[in-house]
Amino acid sequence: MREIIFLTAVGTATLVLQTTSMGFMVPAAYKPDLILALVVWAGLRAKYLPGVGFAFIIGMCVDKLSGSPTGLFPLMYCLAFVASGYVQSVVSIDDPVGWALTVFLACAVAGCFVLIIRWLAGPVGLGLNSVLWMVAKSLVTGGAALALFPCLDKAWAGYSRIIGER
Amino acid sequence: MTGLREENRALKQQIRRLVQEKADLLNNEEENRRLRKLLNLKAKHEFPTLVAQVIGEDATGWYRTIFINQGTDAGVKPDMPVTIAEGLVGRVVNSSADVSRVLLLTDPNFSADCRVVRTRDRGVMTGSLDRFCVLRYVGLKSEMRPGDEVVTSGMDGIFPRGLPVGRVESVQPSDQGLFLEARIVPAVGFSEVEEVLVILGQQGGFDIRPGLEDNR
Repeated sequence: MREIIFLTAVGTATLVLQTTSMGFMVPAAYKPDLILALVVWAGLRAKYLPGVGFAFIIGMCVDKLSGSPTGLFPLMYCLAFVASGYVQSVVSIDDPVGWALTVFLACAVAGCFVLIIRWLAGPVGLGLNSVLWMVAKSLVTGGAALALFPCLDKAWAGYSRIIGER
Repeated sequence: MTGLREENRALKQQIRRLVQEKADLLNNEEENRRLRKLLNLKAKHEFPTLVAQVIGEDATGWYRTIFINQGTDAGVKPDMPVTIAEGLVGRVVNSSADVSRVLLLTDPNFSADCRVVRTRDRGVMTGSLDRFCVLRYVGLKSEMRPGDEVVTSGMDGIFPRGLPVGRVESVQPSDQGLFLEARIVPAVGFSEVEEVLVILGQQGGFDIRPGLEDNR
């Protein structure tokens, strides 16, 4: 339950930040996907059921708040959550480089999904610019994870101290 | 000495207040300028329009959409054109009671029937994954060239005729060589858009800028 409350609060705050002030800091096309970074963090820290439920619901919210076809982001975020949880179980990711690399890869895969779906849906040229855009956005998101993950860890630790372990 | 310190503190406070007031005034002046431009544009339209504020942008950045603070309660419906004084911004894709989502013309899912003002050539303009838009399906005999102005043709039944869209940046044959394609630089700087005008009810093909298309 404590995970559900924490993830709901943090997810809501991230959604608000992502749709409002984030665009003033970074050009809209390159702004970091903080929600994806949050889902990856949940994959590394949270239990399976609350985490995957959170990934699905926040994906639905993102679908509503972006131009994506319904179901794309829930699918991608659930995959990102499961994949990062699996990677964490195989190789423990507990250093900033690992966090950044995991988020970078998750964002690159999500970008590939989006670009391929756009390419299948309409006359969109997938040239070098698209690849560079995807890489740049993934780098920015990976970089943002370096700042976001310690903040989330601190917030989670503080919250756990207040609420208790159960 | 105490009096001086007190006076110094009061003066510093006054400076802070004046700086804040100056910033507010500049902000108001800028808002006033934008709204006056929108008001002029509103007066040009012969169909009902509605001013809306931009309140958010796409959650992920992979798509190019914005949110405006008017919805079905104010009569906003999907497929309504959204514009500012500089030109076309996009169209409404869905709306709830108080909020609507607008697809920007730089998004690949966007398309509009457009015309090159000087040469009268028609084509379909779509967004792209670059910063530009692309005008497709223009005949090979077209004489359009960089710098030409592109406006909506009104033939798609969604956008009124004559809304500025952008300028031609470069022209090249399409991959199959059957048509010409032009890269279009949008007339609108999307990061600076704060208020927009939603065209509530328009009849496709109505010319909003009489005389513009005669400047060949």
